[in-house]
Amino acid sequence: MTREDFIGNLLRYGLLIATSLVALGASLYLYRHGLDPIHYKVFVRQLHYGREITNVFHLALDQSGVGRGLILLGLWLLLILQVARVALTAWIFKVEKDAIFAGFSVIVLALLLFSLLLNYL
Amino acid sequence: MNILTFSATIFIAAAGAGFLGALTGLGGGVVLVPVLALLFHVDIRYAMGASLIAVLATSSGAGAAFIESGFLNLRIGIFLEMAAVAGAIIGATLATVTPGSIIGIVFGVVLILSAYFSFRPGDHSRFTRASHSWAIKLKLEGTYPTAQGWASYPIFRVPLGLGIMGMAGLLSGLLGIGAGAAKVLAMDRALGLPYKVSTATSNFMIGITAAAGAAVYFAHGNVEPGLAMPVVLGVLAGAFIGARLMPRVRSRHLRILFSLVILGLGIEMLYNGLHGGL
Repeated sequence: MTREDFIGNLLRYGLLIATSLVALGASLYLYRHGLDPIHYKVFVRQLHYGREITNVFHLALDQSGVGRGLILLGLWLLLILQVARVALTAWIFKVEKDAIFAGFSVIVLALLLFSLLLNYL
Repeated sequence: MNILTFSATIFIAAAGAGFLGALTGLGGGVVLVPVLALLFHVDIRYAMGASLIAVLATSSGAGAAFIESGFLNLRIGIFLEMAAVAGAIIGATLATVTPGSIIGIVFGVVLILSAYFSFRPGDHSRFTRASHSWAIKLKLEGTYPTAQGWASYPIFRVPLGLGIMGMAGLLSGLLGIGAGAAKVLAMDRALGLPYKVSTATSNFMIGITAAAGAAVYFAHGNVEPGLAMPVVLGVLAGAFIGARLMPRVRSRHLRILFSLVILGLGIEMLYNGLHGGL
């Protein structure tokens, strides 16, 4: 496999898993709450959902919120997938003994991790 | 309206945006926020959150499809991404403290500029010099497939490209869009890359940039899963079909039509921003 194949497969299968989770969560959510009125016009900070990944797992396991929890898990996976592909790029440049571009990739990776942790510090 | 009807309607609208965005190469994300906020009266922060997550999905799909095509320049992508991600963190943090009306005004201006630039193709004839010294030192130059076999291309004005890319990242985080048009602008006009190399590299990059903004949006509770669900699935389905049809459809007229839609939404966003409708 070339380096491009590695990244291509990561994106392909990562996207497939993430969208499957979103679609599964969507069916459960619509089954349970499809007839409820919409509540997207008024902004309420979705902190208990988005703030910590452990809460997402709790929500996914909770009977009443399992649909939203699975959707959120899929959405988080889409985000983690981007971090993973930068990490993979860094590793590929390292294997190719390209220290400068491995360094650039690590800088991008560090910035992404910073953005993930920024609001929890 | 109940959640089921609303989700189905949003799914269809998002699929239309993804379809036209992929078919015309203008990207679908940029119309999503105005459509959600103006047509469906969704809170603009939710709209931006859902749109930015959809960008993660489409960029992953496009990245998987483009990466083996030979057009993607991974070195340029990761080099410019340093500026884009830094810009996105600043932009998304600004977005969390900026009132919706200001976001609407900036959004309107960006949409109008996008429509303007989509009517003006780049002129590469003035690029006759040798590559910029940074491009040579960092070995950024690449090759790409043409009808006459593999061709190499020089790279110009690297600092300018890096600067525009930082701005593109800022807009991505501030507005919840992929800012693909601004990225192509940096690569096509500033660096002088072949157009197909610019678009392939931009498609690959926007997901990484959007991830930095999405992380901030998640932390501030701007991602409503019930709304993001039909948006993400719709855009992805539309973009998938659009990308399949692209080689077989003459998209020039569609491109003009879609540019006019973008222009119209831009004026509407600007108007609503100025009159406190957001």
